[in-house]
Amino acid sequence: MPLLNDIASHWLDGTVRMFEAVSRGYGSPATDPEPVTRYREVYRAGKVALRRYTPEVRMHRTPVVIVYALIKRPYILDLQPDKSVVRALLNQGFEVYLIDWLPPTKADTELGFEEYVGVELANAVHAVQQSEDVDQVHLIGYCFGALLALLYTATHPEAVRNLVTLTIPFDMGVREIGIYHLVDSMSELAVDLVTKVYGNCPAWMVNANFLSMAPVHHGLDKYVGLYRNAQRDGYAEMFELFERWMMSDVPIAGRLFRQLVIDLFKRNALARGEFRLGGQKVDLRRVSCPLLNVVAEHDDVVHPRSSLGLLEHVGSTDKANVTFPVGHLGAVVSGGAMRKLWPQIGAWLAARDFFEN
Amino acid sequence: MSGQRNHVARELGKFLEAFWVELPQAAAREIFGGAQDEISRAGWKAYDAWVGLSNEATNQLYANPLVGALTGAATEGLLRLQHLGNAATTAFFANLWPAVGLPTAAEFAALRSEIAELRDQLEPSATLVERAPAASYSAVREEGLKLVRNAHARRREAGNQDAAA
Repeated sequence: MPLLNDIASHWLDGTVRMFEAVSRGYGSPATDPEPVTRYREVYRAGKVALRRYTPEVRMHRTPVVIVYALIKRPYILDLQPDKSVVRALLNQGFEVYLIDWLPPTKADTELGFEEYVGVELANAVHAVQQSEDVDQVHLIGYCFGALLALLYTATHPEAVRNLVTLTIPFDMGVREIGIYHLVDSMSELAVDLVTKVYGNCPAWMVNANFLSMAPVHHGLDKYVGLYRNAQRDGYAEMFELFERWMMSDVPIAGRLFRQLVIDLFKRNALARGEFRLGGQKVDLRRVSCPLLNVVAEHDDVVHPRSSLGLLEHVGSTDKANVTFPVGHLGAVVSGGAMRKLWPQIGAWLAARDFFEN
Repeated sequence: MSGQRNHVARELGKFLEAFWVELPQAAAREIFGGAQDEISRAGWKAYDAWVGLSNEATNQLYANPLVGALTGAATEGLLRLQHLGNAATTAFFANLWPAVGLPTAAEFAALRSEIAELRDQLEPSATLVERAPAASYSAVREEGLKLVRNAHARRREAGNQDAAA
């Protein structure tokens, strides 16, 4: 029966991919695929490698800095020529910088939000300011990266011209997604033990968390989907790339992991206005720049309700929620997002730039 | 919780309708000269409804307080055991391995991760990429050389100790 044979064969390929990922330790810069869009690495220090993408025709003075999440490798933002957030912004004439977070090693277990936001991200933005000779940048943060971008903007409001948060996990008291209940059931002692035993939260644990979000999808349905769409142009190639990215998890620095699970997730400290960076309470009212909060309507990783509440907490007067009918990843890879969402984001940024050429 | 139960009930209704009503109807229509692919379409619809039902059931399972309590306790117990195992292994073997001239697992793991990090820093990730900071290469190279020299020194030292013994 070709149906069963094909699905079994896809499933076996997937299992081999998983074992290969386990053996190489999941994601690292060395295992990234060839980049789709040409870039130049302009800064590398600490845990940051900063990539610069230059448009053919530059139309805007203020550069865009994309703050990627700390969870997997960033090539999802430049996956294929027609499915690339980077290209979507370049085509609109923006100079684009992408923050590639370097995976933490055993020596980095003590890195927390203070270091990632106050040192690593601050240095990267400073490098952009110097390289571009500007005082301000547009910040676009995706998922966990949006959280970092928000914290940076709250602590360095003078450096951010406009902020775009994409699928931000802001209100972590929302428990609409099943797996969150399990993470919530993990005691603070267990979180401590993870860092005592492994130093950092290992990549396999991060990956297991993602796979557990949709076990039927990852165990069977995606292979059935591949069988059903095998004749569609480019589907198999996209599936391969996507699967590779799904296995590109990186460890989370030990202290950051504790802060993330205990302070942000279990205590919901940021939405309650109690989150502290370096002993100082983070005041989101200091976020005064224009803010565009993009919410994915069918998001099954960050529930839309978790993102929607952000606007009430910031000090910006020019602020808006935009809900787009895609899933969490659809916001950065779907054809619909490339055609409609990213031109909208580009236009929003352009309208709030200093001046146009 | 009741909201999630409603979701499961809705998905169950969809599945039952697709499997017990639409699929037999499609089969009957195809047998009596309907469109050729009716069974196939109804079959895939039933499959999609089963996937939806499974996802909702999984979500409800995760949200169950008992499952949460059991998972939490199991995770903590396993991590405690691992922590204890690590501590015991270190205590027993930390002095044994160097005595027989072998590195400890922790040293080996640290060396592996350092090498992996150096490889990540040195290996250009792609031909398209221009790597700018040439200065950092020399620093990385120096660090790599230092690692190799230290490893040689440790081996020499261990050899000398063995010879002296």
